Formats: sequence, C-alpha cells, structure tokens
Amino acid sequence: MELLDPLTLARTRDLAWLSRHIAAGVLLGVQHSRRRGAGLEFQQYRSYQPGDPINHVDWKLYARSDRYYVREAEQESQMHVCFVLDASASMAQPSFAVPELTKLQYAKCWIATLCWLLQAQGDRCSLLVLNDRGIGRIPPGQGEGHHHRIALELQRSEATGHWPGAAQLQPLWAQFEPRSQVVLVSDFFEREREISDFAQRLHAAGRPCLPLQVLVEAEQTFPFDGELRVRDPEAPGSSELDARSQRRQYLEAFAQAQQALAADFAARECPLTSVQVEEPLADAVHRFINQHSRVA
Amino acid sequence: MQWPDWSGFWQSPQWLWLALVFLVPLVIHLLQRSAPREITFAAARWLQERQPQSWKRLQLRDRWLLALRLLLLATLVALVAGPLREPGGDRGSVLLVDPRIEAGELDSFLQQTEGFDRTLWLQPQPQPVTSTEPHTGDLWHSLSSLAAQPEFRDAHILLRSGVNAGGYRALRYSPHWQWHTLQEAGDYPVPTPVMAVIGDQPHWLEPMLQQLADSGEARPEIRTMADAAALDPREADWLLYNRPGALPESARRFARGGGLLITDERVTPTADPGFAALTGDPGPARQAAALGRGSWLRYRGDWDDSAFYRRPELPEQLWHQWTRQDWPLHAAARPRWSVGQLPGAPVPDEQVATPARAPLEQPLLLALLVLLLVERAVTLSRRRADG
Repeated sequence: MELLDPLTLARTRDLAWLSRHIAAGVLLGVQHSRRRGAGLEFQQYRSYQPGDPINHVDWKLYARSDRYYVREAEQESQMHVCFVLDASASMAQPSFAVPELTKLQYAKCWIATLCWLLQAQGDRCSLLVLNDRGIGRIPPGQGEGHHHRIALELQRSEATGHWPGAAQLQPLWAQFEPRSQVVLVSDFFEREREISDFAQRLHAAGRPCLPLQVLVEAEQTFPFDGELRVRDPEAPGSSELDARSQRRQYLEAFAQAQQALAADFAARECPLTSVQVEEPLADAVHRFINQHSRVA
Repeated sequence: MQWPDWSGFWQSPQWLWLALVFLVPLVIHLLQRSAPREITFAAARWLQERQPQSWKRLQLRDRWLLALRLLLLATLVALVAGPLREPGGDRGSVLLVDPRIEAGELDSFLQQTEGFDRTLWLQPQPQPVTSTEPHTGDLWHSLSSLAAQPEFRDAHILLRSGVNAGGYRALRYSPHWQWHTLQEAGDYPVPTPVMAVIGDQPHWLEPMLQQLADSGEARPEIRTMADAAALDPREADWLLYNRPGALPESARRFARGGGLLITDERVTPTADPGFAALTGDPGPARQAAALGRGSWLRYRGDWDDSAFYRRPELPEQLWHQWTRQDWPLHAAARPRWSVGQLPGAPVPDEQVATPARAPLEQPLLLALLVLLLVERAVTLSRRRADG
C-alpha cells in the first residue's frame, strides 16, 4: 500500500474513508483475529456498507435473506481517549511546499485515523475542538457510527480566533472522566503558556495529556530570502523584515522554544511528538503510537 | 581578430538613447524592491521586527543580478548597433615603401612627411620596414595584389621613381592611393629579370643568387617549371634549361619570342643556329646565337662539372654575362608606366569586401547567449529559493 501524498490528504473530503484507508496502512501486518480480540459479544446486525471488511459479513444470514449483513459485536471498553484539537487561527497555516494542505487538515486526518484505530480495538473516543469563537464537542462513544460523527464534526471545524479563555474552558472539565486520556493536537504556538497550562492542569488532575505538535516544514527551516512582509494569523498587522538577516536569529529562537516545550512535557512523562504536515500521515501515526505504547 | 576602434564612440550624442535602455532593468529592480513578498507565517512571534531604516529602502536588492542584466543589455546593444559603426573604422594612415629605397632615403622622407602610423614594405604581403629588407619584387604585381585589400585602400605609396617598368597584365590599383616618389622621372631603373628554370636547378645556382643578393646586386625571381610549353616570353625573361639532349621546340619558341635561353653544351640544337664563340672576358667559355627576337647562350662543356663552377668570381661573372647578353635592350623595350598616368583599371569601392564584422559578432552572440543563460539560471534559482 502506497503512502498517501500530501496533496491527496489535502483534497480528500471524506475524512471517515480517508482515515480508514490510512489506518489500514498503519495496521498492515497485524492479524485480524487478534485485533478482533477475545470475548466479543454479539450486539447487532447492520446492513453492509462499502468498505466493510468482507470477512465480517454474515454469510449464513446472506443465504437466508439474500442481503448482506455485518455482525457487530459489543466490545468491552478499555479506555476513554479524548481528542482535543486546537482550532486557533495559527492552525490554518498552510504548508509552503503544498499550499493546499494546512496544519488543521493534517490534524483532522490524524485524529480521524487514530480514532478509527482506537474504536477498532474497542476504546471509546470523544472530541473537543477548541477556539474562542465556539467549542465543538462529541461525547464519548464507540463503534463506526461514532467514528462517523467524529469525522463529521472534524470536517465542520475551521481554524480561527485564539485558544479559548479560562471562562470558556470551565464547563469542559467535567468531560474528562477519571480514567481517560487526553490527546492534545496543536501547534503549541501560544501567547502566554495558555495551552501548556491546559495540559499542566489535566496532568495535575490525573488525566495524562499526550501532546502532538503539528508544524509545517518552513517553520523549522525558514527557507525564505529577500524582503518579506510577514503576517501573524493570531496578531493584528504585519511586519516587514529582511529574511536573510533574520534567519539565523529566528532558527535559534524557534529551536529554543521547541526545546523548552519538549522539556516541559518530558518532565510530565508525556513526550512531545512533533510532526510536519509534509511527512506521510501513517508515519506520523506510527511515531505517535510508538512513543505512547499505552494508547494503542 | 580585429576589434574595432571604439574611440569616439561615446563622444557622439546619438548614443545617449542607450541610457534609456539601461534604465529598464534599474526600474524593474526598484519596483521589485518596493513590493516585498507577503506571507502568512504562524511562527512570526519568533521573528524580530526590524527597525524602520529609511536608507535601507533605497538599497537595491540583487545587485549582482542587476549588473548581469545591464551587461546583457550592453551586449545586445553592441550587437544591434554593429551596422551603425563606421565601416572599418579609422585605421590610421599606412605608408607602403618601394623595397628599392635605401634606409637613409626613407628616413629623410619620413622626416619631411610625418603622420604615418605604420610603414610597411610594398610587397604582396606587406611587412613592417623594421623587418629585414625584402628582395626587390615586382612592383606591378605587388600593387595589383594590394589594390583590393581594404586595409590598404587609403595607403600612401612611396616609390623610388615616378616611372617604372610595367608588367604583362593590367595594373590594378586603388583610386584612393596617394603617391609619393623620390625621383620624378630621373634615371629609369633597370628592372630585375624573371628567370624560369626547367629541369633540375644546377647546384651552383642557389648559392650564386644568394651571393648576388648579399653583395647588393639584384636577385632575379626564380620560377621552376616542368615544361617549356607553358612558358610565355612576356612573363619570364630568362630560361635556364638544364635537360641534356635535344632542345625542345617550346624552348626555342621562347627564345624566338624575345627570351634569353641559357644552357650548357649538353643541350643540342636540332639545326645549328649559327653559334658564335664569345670571348674577351674572364668568365666561363660560351657561345651565343641569335634566335628570332631573343638569343641562346650556350656554355661550353658540362656546367655540373667542377671546372665550370670552381671559380671565386663565378656569381659576378655569370651575372655580368647574362645581363650583358641582351637584357638592357629588352628592359628598355618594356612598357613603362608613370605615377601621373596610371595604366590599367582602378578597383572600385564596391568590389572591395568591407572588413568582415563576423569575427566581432560571433563572440558577442556567444557572450549574449551565455549571459542570458546565467541570468535565467540565477533568476530561476532565486525564485525557487523564495518558495
């Protein structure tokens, strides 16, 4: 199975399909029987939909009714994973190599893929899409229908505004159940440590917060030259500068900030996974899973 | 390759419009500088805002690229303006000097008449007078071969005498030549004979001619020929025939036409022309016979024999014998031409090939191409680096 190129990632609308496609690549080589797990209890029949694995079709029922049905089993819930997606304006940053692909689009696909993997092993997922213009929320659930709901909510969300203030976050704390894990997807470009504080508070409450940082390549290499007029999406106005003379200083400051961030999370035993939107999504999922083997 | 003389190029005001051409890339660079690239960059918080520096705004970006583009335009202009340049340009005046003129005479002439940039010997391939003095060639031939060369179209020509021996073919000359003479008509110099050789050159001939030239006597022009049939008495004066046996009819015809036939006794006549022994001078013994308008000089014995050539005075003796035979008569009978009334036909300007501009245009074209490639490469690589 070939890896999806960034352009496909940027252009495909159907997140549910895309995430399953990617997840199949991530799970390449894992035995199906093992994935299904032991002690599954029959829950319901569901009519076959394109994309369902053919070995889930109940052939005896097909012989009787001449219709395809898929057996769905109820799985013991292992864990609740809450995805928190930062939808502030900085997440709208497009890649300079593939201008169609933004950080947010990448993050959406990434969440949908991991969510599919989790629901395939019987975990419950929930979703929070955060910015100060409004909060998108999908309560915990499981199964393919739930995955579809999450995919729809992700598709609807847009990157705008800032990280929400403390007052807006207040009603959300109840959502994080005691035995839940939080996957925080953001670029961690914060004004006054507001995202770090959020992670810090979750950690203090005993909900491990696993961070995924989504960057574009240009932020790490600064490949510009000549005169630039730079607009910060989360700040008004723009500034002019000479790229060549600024480059060295920028790279130093950026690397320093990255180090501080990584050190911050490493201290809480939740290592920071940093991905570039230009890298294949399956690789990024793999890397995240390997770093937090507790999740998958 | 000859580069044109660019002096005076910038003095004429018609080239001022070039300034407008060079303004184009300058304006492009100024415009480019005033519009910086605009990007949205989420990590802008780690960038330092630059202090507003008004003087820096005036600085041009990509100064190397600008210089490259200006150079490109200059090459293009030079290429396009090629036909506008003075054809040939001013090469300075050339003085062509008759090789018979002594160094002292030339010096005194140059002192009286100044302003020559180059002084060359009057030869088919003119050499500077600082080089060794050439053999006295055929003036008629030299002038004809130089008449159509653009380099010498406006030359000054210095002759020893205003009256000179003509040649067989028509004289070709440039109507722009300016003539100078040391003697107006004066004594008419005896022209140097042209000598044809048929058969092997006698081995004493070359040393003899060399010695004659070294001692200041004239050195005849030698033409080695295979066959006497092609020999024309109007083009050659003497024929040295060195093939033992009967004298062919063509050689006899040459002598009858007015040439001097020189052989030794191994060459035998088909019919006795009535030789008369010539005595009275110390040279090798010989006999002569009149053949038509010319004569036959026949040496006794074999001239490859050491008895013939083992003489200290041989060169002078032979030269004396040959020139005495009937050369003064023939020389005096030859047509003459004077500087005042040039015979023959002038070479019109239309027939003169203008100095080829191709040697200049090709390197320019090549330079233009290379510059264009470099400019494109630099620009495209910049654009790619920008994003």
